[in-house]
Amino acid sequence: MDRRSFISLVSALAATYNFKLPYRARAEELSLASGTAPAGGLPDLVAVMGGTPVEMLDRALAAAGGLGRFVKQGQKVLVKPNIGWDKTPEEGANTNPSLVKHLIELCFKAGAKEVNVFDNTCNQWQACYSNSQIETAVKEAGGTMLMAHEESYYTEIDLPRGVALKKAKVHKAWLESDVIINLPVLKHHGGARMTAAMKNLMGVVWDRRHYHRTDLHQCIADFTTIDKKPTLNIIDAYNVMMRNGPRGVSTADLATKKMLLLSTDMVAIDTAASRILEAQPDEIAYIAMAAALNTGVADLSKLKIERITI
Amino acid sequence: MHRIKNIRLLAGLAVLTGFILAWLRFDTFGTAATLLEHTQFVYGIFELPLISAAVAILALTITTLLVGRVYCSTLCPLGLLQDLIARLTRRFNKKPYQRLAPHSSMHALIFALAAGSALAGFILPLAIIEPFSTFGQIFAGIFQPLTARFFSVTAPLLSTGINWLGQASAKPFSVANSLISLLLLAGLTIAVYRAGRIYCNTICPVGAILRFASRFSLFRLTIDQEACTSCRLCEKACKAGCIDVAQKTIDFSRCVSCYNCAASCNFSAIKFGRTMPAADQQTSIPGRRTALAALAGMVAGYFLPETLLADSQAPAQILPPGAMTAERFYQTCISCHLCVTACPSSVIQPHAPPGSPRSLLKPALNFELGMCEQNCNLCSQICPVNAIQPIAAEKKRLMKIGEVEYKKHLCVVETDGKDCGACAEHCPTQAVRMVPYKNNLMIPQTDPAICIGCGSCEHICPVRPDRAIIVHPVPMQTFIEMPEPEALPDAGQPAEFPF
Repeated sequence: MDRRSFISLVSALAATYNFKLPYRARAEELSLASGTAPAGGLPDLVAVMGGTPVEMLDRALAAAGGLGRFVKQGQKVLVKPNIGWDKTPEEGANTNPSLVKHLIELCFKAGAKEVNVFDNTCNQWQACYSNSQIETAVKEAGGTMLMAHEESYYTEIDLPRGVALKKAKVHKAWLESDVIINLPVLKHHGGARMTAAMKNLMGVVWDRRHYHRTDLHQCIADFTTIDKKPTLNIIDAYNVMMRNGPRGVSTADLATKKMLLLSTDMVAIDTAASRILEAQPDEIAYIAMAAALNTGVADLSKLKIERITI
Repeated sequence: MHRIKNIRLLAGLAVLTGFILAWLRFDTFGTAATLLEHTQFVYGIFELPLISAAVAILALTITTLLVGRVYCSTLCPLGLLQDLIARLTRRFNKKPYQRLAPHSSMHALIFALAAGSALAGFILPLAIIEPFSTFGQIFAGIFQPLTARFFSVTAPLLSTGINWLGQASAKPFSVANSLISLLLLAGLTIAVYRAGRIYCNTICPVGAILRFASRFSLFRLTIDQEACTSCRLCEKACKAGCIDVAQKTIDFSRCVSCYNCAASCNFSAIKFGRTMPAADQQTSIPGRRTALAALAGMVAGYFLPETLLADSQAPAQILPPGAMTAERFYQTCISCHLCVTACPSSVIQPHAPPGSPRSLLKPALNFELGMCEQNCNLCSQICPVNAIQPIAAEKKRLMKIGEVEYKKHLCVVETDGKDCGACAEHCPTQAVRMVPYKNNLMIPQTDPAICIGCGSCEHICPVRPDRAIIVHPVPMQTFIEMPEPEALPDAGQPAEFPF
């Protein structure tokens, strides 16, 4: 190969390589809660009680104006459940797989082009994915399980408004999705006191030790200042781990609360969740910290809450 | 005869492929490893009370008594690896294979030394020369970590979706860990390059046993005295160096049944059949001298290490679940490193920090890359010599392999006055739990009685350089008893929303 053809080959290869710039979202496309919700009618927070998880999800979505309000034709959706532990669904440490499955099916019905699911697990990731039965649920619903156990799946972003957390390595799927649905399970948490919507987002970040080393509560709150926020938060509070969380020791740690919460506001939904956990919101420092950063409303009296009992 | 050689080639290739795939990507080909493990001679000997082991030993012995050492060219991973090395390197060697001295006394001596020493409880010499272990060490020390790194680098370039490429778990690769493996591989390569299968007929303990058995083989390779033209092609093809063209004899006890000689012969002078060995052929194994060497080796092997190592204490290490005690583990583990290869969270690492010859090459747990997963009992299932005893998954969940120590003065809660709780969060039994502390903080509290030593807390503790919570070895692995959980005061659906 002579020099000329070598140069043309290299430049041709370089041209075909897809250079992806780090995601920088515009402000207007991000404030989904205020941007898409028609004024008046729709509630800020929907709380459902008494049905099966799937029933409650359907009711909550109907009350919030349907999933079509959040997922549009041809969009790329990320569903982020809690898959942190190598535990079966009965043990209540991970999001209910039937809920994950139903939500993915609804996303496709609403016209989603693809639905991805992942978690940066605490236990060995393959064991978590399979024993939580979420991997099967996702496959059955036609979604895709993504890997999240290597640092190279993550991209560093800036959090200029963060107090303790100024930079974070975030999973690429988060940055590349059009719609993000945060689908945690509500649990007691030894370190953070509670894990629900905000704490669940630690599973999209690579270095969780950094959170623990720096200032756990402040870092959890700081991450909510990220430009690209979850479009929707849905909390599975059917079987709630009331103690020994987030991993749990036995099923005796679970209370059957039969509830489900839905909101576009992470701070509001976590405030409501803390009451289900029989904790005072001020006990959970990151809620107040996030409210102080203006990423959501912690005062439930200021919100329109729709309560549905089945 | 070409056909027999081709069958041998195909079988060997299939088995070697299985070995390589399973040892490089245990996560995907683990079942092949279990299958292959059961064909190994060492498995048969060490697991003997088991029926599957008895079957393996019986099948291998009968086969050898019938047709010779086919094991060496079709089932032995190190034999196959040597054949592969020969294929790759021998082309650069201008000198063809030639007849090798039988070294039968030396072989017997080495075997007896290693066996005697192993019987006395010092298994290191056997672990170094045993072919299955050597193969395992080479793969666990060099090739598996390299492969894992290759997959973890390439997979993310292809896709974030779960694909076959991306599932290899990271395996630590360090010069210190891999030095012995590199030495073994280098030694093997040099030996193969210069003298073919010399290892199999001088050092290998399985070779020594099969060599003894194949003296009595019913069917064997012989040279047809009439047809042979003494062209020496067979001698040049024989990697075991067991053909003597001058005498027109084959020392079948050293033959590894590759059938290359027969395939190389232009006059079909090498025949496979039921021929009784001529009396003079037996002379290659001078019975009395070999027996004497074996006896002396056995005695020396039995008593020497005991006297030399009398005051050396094995260092305390956290051992794989099922090892029971350090003494028992160090006496039985043949260092095949299959547990290292299999461990999905990479906590079983190839070499414990060298403290004593007893623990040299023995795996031990290190929680840098992960924790001993509570639901996993893979190492105890896969260990071919029961150095890690099989523990049922349900019992393994409560097996205590270490004990926690919390160092409050290093803890983030104490030093920074911030909540952390990573240790308690990961603790599967709540042997580490968070309790109220000053300024509305929560601080870890430990209960060693229910600690299983899985290392979750040590693994996740964010404090560096020294962690605020670590796991110590225990003198003996036991089972903890979990207290009966108290019922929640109110575990039902509330009457109305609490907000």
